[in-house]
Amino acid sequence: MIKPRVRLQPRYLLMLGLLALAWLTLAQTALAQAPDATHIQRITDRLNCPLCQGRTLTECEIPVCVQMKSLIQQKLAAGVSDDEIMQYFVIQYGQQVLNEPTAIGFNLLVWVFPLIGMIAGAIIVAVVLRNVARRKPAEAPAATRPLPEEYLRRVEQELKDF
Amino acid sequence: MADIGYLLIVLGLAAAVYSMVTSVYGVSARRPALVLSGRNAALVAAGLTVGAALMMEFLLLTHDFNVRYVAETTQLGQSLYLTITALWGAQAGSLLFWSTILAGYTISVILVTRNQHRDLLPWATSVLMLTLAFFLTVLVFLRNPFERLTFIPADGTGLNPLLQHGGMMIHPPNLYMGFVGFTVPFAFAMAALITGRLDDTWIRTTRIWTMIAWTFLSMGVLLGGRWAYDVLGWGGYWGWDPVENASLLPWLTATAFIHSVMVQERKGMLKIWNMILIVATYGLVIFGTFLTRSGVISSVHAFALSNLGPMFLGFLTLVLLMAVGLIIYRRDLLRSKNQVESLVSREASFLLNNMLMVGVCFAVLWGTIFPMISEIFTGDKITVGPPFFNKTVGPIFALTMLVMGFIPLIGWGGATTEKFLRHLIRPAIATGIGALALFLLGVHQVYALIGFSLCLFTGYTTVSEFVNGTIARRRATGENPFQALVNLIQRNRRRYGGYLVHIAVVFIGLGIVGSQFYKQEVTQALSPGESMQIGDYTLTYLGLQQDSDLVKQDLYGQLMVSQGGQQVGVISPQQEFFTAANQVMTIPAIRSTPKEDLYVIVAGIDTQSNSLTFTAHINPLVMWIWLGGVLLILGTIIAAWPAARREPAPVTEAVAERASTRI
Repeated sequence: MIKPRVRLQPRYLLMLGLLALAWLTLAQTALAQAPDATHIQRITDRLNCPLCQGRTLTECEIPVCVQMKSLIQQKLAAGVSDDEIMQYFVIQYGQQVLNEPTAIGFNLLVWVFPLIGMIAGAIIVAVVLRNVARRKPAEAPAATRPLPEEYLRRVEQELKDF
Repeated sequence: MADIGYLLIVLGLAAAVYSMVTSVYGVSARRPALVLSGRNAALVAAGLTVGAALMMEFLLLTHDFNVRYVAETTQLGQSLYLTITALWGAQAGSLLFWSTILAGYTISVILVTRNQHRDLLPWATSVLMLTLAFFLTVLVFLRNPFERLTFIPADGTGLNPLLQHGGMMIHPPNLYMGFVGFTVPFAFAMAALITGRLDDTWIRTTRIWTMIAWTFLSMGVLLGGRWAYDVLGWGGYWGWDPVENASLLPWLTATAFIHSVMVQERKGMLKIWNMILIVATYGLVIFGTFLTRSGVISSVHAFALSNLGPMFLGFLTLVLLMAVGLIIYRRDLLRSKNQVESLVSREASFLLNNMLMVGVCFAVLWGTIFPMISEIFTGDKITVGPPFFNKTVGPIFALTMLVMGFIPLIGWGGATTEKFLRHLIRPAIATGIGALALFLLGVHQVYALIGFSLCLFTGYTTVSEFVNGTIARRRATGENPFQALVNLIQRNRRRYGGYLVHIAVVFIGLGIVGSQFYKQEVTQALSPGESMQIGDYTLTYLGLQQDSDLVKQDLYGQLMVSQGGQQVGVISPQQEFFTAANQVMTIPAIRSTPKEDLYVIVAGIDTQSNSLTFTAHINPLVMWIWLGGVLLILGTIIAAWPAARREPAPVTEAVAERASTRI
């Protein structure tokens, strides 16, 4: 969509490409080695303390939470699945106990809107910048104050080349 | 005395309304005497508001428990500091405090800009007075802070224990100074729209106020986090709860604003966009105050019952409609003079930064209000917690960090793509080496690695600006390195101050990434003499200590901390029992080092077995967040400090530009 006018020197692109590749490999390896949270913590991370505002079950140590955690442990030992455990707590405490709304039905909107927003933002920026790529500015903006701008650019250039 | 206080706010309201009407009529009918009268009335209204706040302080200090507010926020034996700061310790008082700060800003703005901008000032004054009148109306009719009880209680119930903490009491003034401060640029923006003087006068005039507000708001947000960390005892500093989000939202649009006004000043572009950003910031300030003061968070039903909520929402709607109407009305005058010339230019990257900031703002706003929307439409109460915000906001902030790293590589007007790529090579290599080193040191979580890499990249490019500039200066002038650095910054304070703020953000980023991905936690019950392990720390429980005063009883669990076999000190996490409020506070003990914080709380007390349950956290790199905060303030002060020398060039430029835009 946006075509840069300047031809790129292949060696710069190559170097940057190689760097990006090396970096991605590193990230990939890191992903493979990431430590696993304990099974119980994977569940408590997704639940809220029913009493304290904005605290996950993992972080909270009040008696109710301690009780909930030992209950999770018992259920896991009895072979109950993660989803069933979550369901159990939702029935007990309502939707509020989940710290991330399940992405179904109306709650889907919470995820969809920011995504739409970001896409819209990206489109706006792309459109504004596309005008740039298409249209040459009619007059040089330096017309209002030619000297300082030119000096500034030259100084910047020299600073960078050091 | 309380009745005098009430009289002051009633008179203040009358003066504010008079000032608003007279200013508008005077300037429209070209009657300078009326404009002057309106200005003076604004000073009177502001003075009366300040007087009311002083009266409230007097009542607090004299423990006049007949006044409901005094009885609910103070008690005998409460420290002087907490008694003074009780002014903003509860709802009615904090609304009065809000109005007082607005009054302070009004007085300063009128006195500073007295003889300039004769066309803008009356309109700006009337917008300031409109806001003041709104808050005073709330105080006079809905939340009278001077309301009296029918009897005189022997003692008050005291300040909410959550607030009985030094940090908490300095957090609200900062936040309010920030919140309220954005009323000033908003007022001048409206004045510019109404008069049609849409060059950048309104931006230049309000730049200093915008920067002051932004600095205080940044401090307010950070201090809020610090307070949560020091007092709430859950081991974190940011929980994405609605009150925190309310303070972050205007900060995001304001940050976008202070960047994009630079584009307007330099290039005459983004005029409409700047208007939208300042209106959004003001709207979010009012919305934030509404969110935290109306009880809408706990339940939409509480909102419907309180008369405060609809009032705020009504005012907000009115002001937004007015502002948007004005922008549409003036849309022809707001067209850009110039186009973005190059994709690889500062303008383009500022545009991108703006999009990202507004994106974060939108996501946070949506996540904050979604539980209310859900309750209205489905009746279900749900929680939108940290996972949502981390997933939506995290990636956008990462992109912002990346754009911030590109900034020093790109000049105004545009560099060629090739030059940009050439400048990119070195930082990219440095980042690659740094990432590899981190990986070898044990940073194996992929998002953490990405986060650290971005911080490294931006840190490298930004610090390079200082290093290269200093070297160049040294070659040219022969100054010593320190002198060269100081002069470099002094020659272009706005730019290098800005870069300092960017480095501060890198610090904060490091702290957030470190503490998000590498926190550890251990909980254990200890009898005296027993120890627990976390990381390479050993904590040995020494014993229990107690003391008490009129307000509370304190209980300390003393722990000896050893690190790698060496004793490094004693820490004492505590529990405070507030007798009057019947509430327990868990105050952590924190041992802070640049590498990590050891953060310990007393989680439970078992009096029978004489044991205490401790929860210990290791929060890596948290100190860098607070260091970043200090640097951020320093950088902003350097950038915003008004120029001491009068250079003739910019003045003639400004005049020339103004002349050219008038046509």
